[in-house]
Amino acid sequence: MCRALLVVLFFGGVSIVAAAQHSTTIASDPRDLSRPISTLVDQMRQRENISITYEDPRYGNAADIEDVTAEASKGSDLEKAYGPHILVPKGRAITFVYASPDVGSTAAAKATIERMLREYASLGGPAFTVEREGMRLHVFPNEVLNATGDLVRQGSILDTVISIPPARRDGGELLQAICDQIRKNTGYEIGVGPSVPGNSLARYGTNAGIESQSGLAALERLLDAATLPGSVVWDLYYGPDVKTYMLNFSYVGSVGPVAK
Amino acid sequence: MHAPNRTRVFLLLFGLAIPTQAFSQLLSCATVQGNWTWPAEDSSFVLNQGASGTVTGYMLTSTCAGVQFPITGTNSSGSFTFTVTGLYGVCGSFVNWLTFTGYLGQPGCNYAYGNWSNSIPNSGGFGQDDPYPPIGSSAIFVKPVDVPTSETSVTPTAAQWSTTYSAPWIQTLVGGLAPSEFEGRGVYEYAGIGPGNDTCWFKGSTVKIFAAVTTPGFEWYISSKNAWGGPDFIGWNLAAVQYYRTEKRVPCLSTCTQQMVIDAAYSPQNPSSYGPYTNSSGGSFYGVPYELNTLGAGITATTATSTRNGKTSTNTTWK
Repeated sequence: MCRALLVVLFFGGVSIVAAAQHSTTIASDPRDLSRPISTLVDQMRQRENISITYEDPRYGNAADIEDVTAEASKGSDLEKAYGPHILVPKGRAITFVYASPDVGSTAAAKATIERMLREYASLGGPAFTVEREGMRLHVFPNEVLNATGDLVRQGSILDTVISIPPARRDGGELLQAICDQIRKNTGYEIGVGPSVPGNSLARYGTNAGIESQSGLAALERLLDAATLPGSVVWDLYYGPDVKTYMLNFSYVGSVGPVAK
Repeated sequence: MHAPNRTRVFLLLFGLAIPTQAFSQLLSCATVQGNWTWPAEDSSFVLNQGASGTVTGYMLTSTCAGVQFPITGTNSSGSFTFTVTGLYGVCGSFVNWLTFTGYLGQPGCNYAYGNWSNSIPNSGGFGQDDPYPPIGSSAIFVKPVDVPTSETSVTPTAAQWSTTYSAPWIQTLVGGLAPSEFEGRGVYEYAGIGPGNDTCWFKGSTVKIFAAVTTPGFEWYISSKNAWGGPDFIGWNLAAVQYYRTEKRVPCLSTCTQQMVIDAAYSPQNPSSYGPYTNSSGGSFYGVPYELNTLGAGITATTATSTRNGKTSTNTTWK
């Protein structure tokens, strides 16, 4: 047996395995633990070039809510004491480790995110789920504590089926119409955040309406028509104090091999 | 720099044929004005263009150093023709005139391609329909890319603010060698130097930190009179203004920088900052950075402001 070949075979093999199993650690932000899963999703987007959306649960239990009035409000002491309080989600710190092959395909990335969500739920946080729809993976709530402490099922508000009559609209007008229709059907307002890709949406025009589509599908279709498909993702945040949602957007660029 | 091909210069001026190149699509760069080089023939062309599309200038060639051969012609919608005269008998030339008919190429509008013909008659091609030719290619007909020196902006009125998009700013490019110099070009936005700052945001806010351009690589086409073909929306929109007022976070301010880049084709005389970029559609192009803008967005209890390079638009209508 050729000794040199053995050495190359053995050490070369070790090297390949080590490279293939290079691990990545992502963690929640200790300065802002309000939405740890959103923070981790954001890091996966940036590191792995994956198109993932995130949606908050509607937090309803005191254990999941934090009062940040004292530190966040610029109101007077009187307003801080007796005015409406600023309530935000209270998350749990989490560190998550995955290896490169764990995000090498859409199925692998989905399984990895599922593992991350299971680990977070085991910490006592709300339960999320991940599904693939169109060009994106979508992380949205599954179960959350209600006001009396019972774990209750809660899905995505973007599953709401909507219809919008055809009319001449630009992208922003159609986006606003989608949010308005979800509010009409659910009672929950969704504000369009300032990170909306306004330059792209303003340039886009359509006469089409929406007929019996989920809000999520309508949103995806609009974004993918107005921008590079899969390049824009959203974070739908819920404010426990204002009891409304805000739709934030991020540009992830040309998406990689996952959810392409 | 490409080595001069003296044989080909000889062939051009003395009436022998050079292979013809095919034309492609009709292009719409506004002006042919500039100092063009044609390395394959070791020739250069100093061209001026009037407002009506009239082209004047002169040709220089290494076979007849120091002599300026006059040029007249026209350019319209990126399609030009010009004729070099005064050649016959100078430095032994047998050619009376030499005409170039061609197109200005996009992106960049700083490369051209087409056919030449002379009085012998002979004809051939010049340049190539490729903004990024292989390194070392001498079949180029190019000029240094024109780069704006700055931009001017029209400050939006309060009535022009969009509740969804915020304040629409329209820019006009300044500089260039001729009127409408930049028409037919594309400009792109990218994140500028360092991170921005957002004093409206707080831990747990439903509005994410807003301190960067939202779509790096977004393109605006330059229309007539060097104006951007659409607005750049800068600032907070209505939902964010209402949210931060409700949460008692005002007064507050978001700032960031925006690096503007203009498209360019290859030229050996391009600025050293010429380099590759990716646009928001995932496409690759080459460009030259030309301006770093400071953007700002403020909220008070009664106003929303949008600021671009020191100019501010104030909206007092959002409650």
